[in-house]
Amino acid sequence: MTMRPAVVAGAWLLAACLAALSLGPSRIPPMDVAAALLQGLGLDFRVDERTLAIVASLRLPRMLMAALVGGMLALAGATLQGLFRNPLADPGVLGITGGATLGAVTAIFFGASAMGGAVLPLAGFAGALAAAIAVDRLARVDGRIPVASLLLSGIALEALSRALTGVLIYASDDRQLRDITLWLLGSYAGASWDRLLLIAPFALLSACALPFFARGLDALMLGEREAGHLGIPVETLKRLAVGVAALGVGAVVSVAGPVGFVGLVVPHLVRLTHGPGHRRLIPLAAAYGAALSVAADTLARILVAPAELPVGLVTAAIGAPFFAFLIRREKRRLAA
Amino acid sequence: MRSLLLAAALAVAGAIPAFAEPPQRIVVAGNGLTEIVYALGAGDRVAAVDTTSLYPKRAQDLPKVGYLRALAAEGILSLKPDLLLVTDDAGPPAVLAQMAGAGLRVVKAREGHSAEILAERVRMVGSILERGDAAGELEKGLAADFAALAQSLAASPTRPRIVFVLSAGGGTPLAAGADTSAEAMFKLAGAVNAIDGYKGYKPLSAEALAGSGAAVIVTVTHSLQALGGEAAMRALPQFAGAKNMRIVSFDGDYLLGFGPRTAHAARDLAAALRPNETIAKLPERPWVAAP
Amino acid sequence: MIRATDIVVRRAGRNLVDGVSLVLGEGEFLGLLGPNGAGKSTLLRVLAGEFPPEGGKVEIDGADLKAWPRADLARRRAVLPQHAAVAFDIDGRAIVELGRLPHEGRSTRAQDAQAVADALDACDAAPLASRGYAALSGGEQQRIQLARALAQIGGTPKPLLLLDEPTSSLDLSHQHAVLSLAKRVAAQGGAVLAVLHDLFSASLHCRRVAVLERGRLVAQGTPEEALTPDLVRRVFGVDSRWIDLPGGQRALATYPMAA
Repeated sequence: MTMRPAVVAGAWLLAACLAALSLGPSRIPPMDVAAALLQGLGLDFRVDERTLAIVASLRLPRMLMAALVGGMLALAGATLQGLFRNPLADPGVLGITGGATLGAVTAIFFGASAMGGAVLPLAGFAGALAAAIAVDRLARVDGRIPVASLLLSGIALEALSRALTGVLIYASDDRQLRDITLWLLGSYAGASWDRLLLIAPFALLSACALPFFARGLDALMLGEREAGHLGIPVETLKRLAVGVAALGVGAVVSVAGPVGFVGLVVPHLVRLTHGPGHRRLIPLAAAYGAALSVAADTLARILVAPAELPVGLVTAAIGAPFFAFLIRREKRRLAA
Repeated sequence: MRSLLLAAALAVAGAIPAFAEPPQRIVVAGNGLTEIVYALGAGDRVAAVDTTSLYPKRAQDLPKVGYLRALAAEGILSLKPDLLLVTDDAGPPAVLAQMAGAGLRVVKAREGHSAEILAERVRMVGSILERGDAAGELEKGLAADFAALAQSLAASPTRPRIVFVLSAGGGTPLAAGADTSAEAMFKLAGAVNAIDGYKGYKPLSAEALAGSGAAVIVTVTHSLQALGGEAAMRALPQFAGAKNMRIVSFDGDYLLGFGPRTAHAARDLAAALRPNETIAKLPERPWVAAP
Repeated sequence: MIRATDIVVRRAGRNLVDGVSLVLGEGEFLGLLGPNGAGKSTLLRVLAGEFPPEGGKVEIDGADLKAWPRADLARRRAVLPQHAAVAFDIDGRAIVELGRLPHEGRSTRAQDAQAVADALDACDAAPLASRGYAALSGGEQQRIQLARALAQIGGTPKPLLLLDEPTSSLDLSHQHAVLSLAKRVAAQGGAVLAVLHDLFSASLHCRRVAVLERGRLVAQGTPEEALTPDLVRRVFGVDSRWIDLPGGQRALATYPMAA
């Protein structure tokens, strides 16, 4: 891919990250933010303890978490849209979001909110993996996974997870209900270095799988048979792409909740602006997904300070109108 | 590991106030706790409260740190408090850990709905805020009021069966089961929860209500308003079998807050449930009159 | 170059392809003929290696198709499928460029660009390259897809080209142009197999034809050997007559059977 789009995407991401580090309910001058970051690296800049804690222990891990979650969701969305050859696919269609939600809601139901630590993310992750395995089994026909069957299995599983989640919601008391509702809206409030370490390997794994996916997904634009004729191991590609998407989405949803919109719309936006080639689409979607997520979380943190909004509300509020605008513009271009 | 450390830090903070100065900027989350802080005369030290803290009215003018279970770490830290006082069920736990990690003193009060736990909270807040005298007075007054109420109720021949109904924002009415603050209030008011068999709140069904044998439906003013008033509430299908049940409503945080006003709320509830009897009024207390 | 021996494809208890053996040598352009449902496309898919047949085997250059590494095969042979729907809004050139995917890391950027340009020119598709695929007509889409297949084998010695009804949506001049092109690929040392419906153009352009009827190979040879009036009447249900064309060429004209 040519460098310019990458540089622009990187600049947006950098701007979003700088904003996330310097803005917040606490007013901290940019110089102090920089000093606190450097001090976090071991240099002594005589930054007071509270500033250091806010910048290095709250804002920095949270920004990284927002970037990882947003990047991962957009990446998975781009991959799945390519795999399903359908621009409306998102991480939800595999049943993974539903599985993670069911896992997390089950944990909340049985009192995980009070246990703290990693119980909730682990339960969400377990739910996501269980869903991915179930979808794989359901969709398999004679050792192959036809895309239509994968899509239908994912939808069936998502519906099942939703039904079971509904049962738990029904059986919850009012406090669990509030917890579940808040979790469903998505939030990065629990960001910490521990949780970052929990999801970082999956982001790394996905990044490594990128070149392979991009090539195969490009060929898949022509159709599954055609991709096969071009030498793409289509079944392997499907299995790997679904697996990586499932792991990644499961990991990020379990720590952040189902942050909506990013996985569906960011890949779509990038496709509208930079074309459907996956070599460009996948990395750009990851960068813009991360940037949107970081920017949305910054707004979530400052809009109603000292309280916070669930980040999912903000991603939807920023993204949906922007999406509508782009579609309108695109329609005009197509009509012309 | 980190959560263990936090638990240890919290335990130490709760047991032995290891700080020389009493806290001057307090963020409180949990309406009962907020009421206690104000009742102990430390209202001017409160920097912010959560959205459940509606009483006293003055507290509503303070910055809001959001819902008790969805607190925001940097938001609270930005207020530069020296104490975060929360009930046991405040959260998320990861956020509390973040704030403790940033050097903020976080104190958790035990959660529960009983006169004993209320007294314990009063003592704890008094000791942390170095308002021991006021706390002693409040605790003594509460004990006397609960005792006086128990005495008048002992003389009452009736043990009304009641159902407590709540509706969040006009949604499906929920009925209180076991382990709720509503049920605890019923006990204090010498009444019996006609709904048993589950914990917490569950959607109310017409059949369960009709079969409960309740004489009175108790609700909170907010829910009643959200449903469109008493007539509208009675018109709901869930209330089809409740023609003969009276509906009584109270201010939500007064009835369910489990704070300094709870003895008086219990007395008022007891009296409202027994229109044909006289339940002695409790003495006027400064913490109940506070605007 | 490609040899299929006793191929059997069974679906739902029926033999779609029933013991077909075919040989396609270097420099040959073979037309695969037959009425609807005769098993032509199924046979082509087996030759393309899309799925293993229930019986028989396919060899390319003497090696079993199953043993061919995916990538080597993709550089050697290209397939033009019958209907090709493309996902997302992508332009013609991008599709043709996807044909170069198997050559990634083996050919230079310039070679790729040359192969794409040659393929577009050969299919008279250069003017379509910058247009969105979805906005093209059926015939234009077919030419872009053919260009993609040509790009895939561009620069390959002894390429193998499998075409499933390459002319079905084309206008008359493009039909002949495409079949002439196939002839040229064969003449340059390649081998081309095309599923065709039109006996006139098949008889005009193909060096050899094979006729399938209900999964069986019923005739094979040069057009004049294989397409006898009897066979054409029996298999296709039409009467036919060889006619002379200017330039000494001969082709088969068909017309409704006399009652």
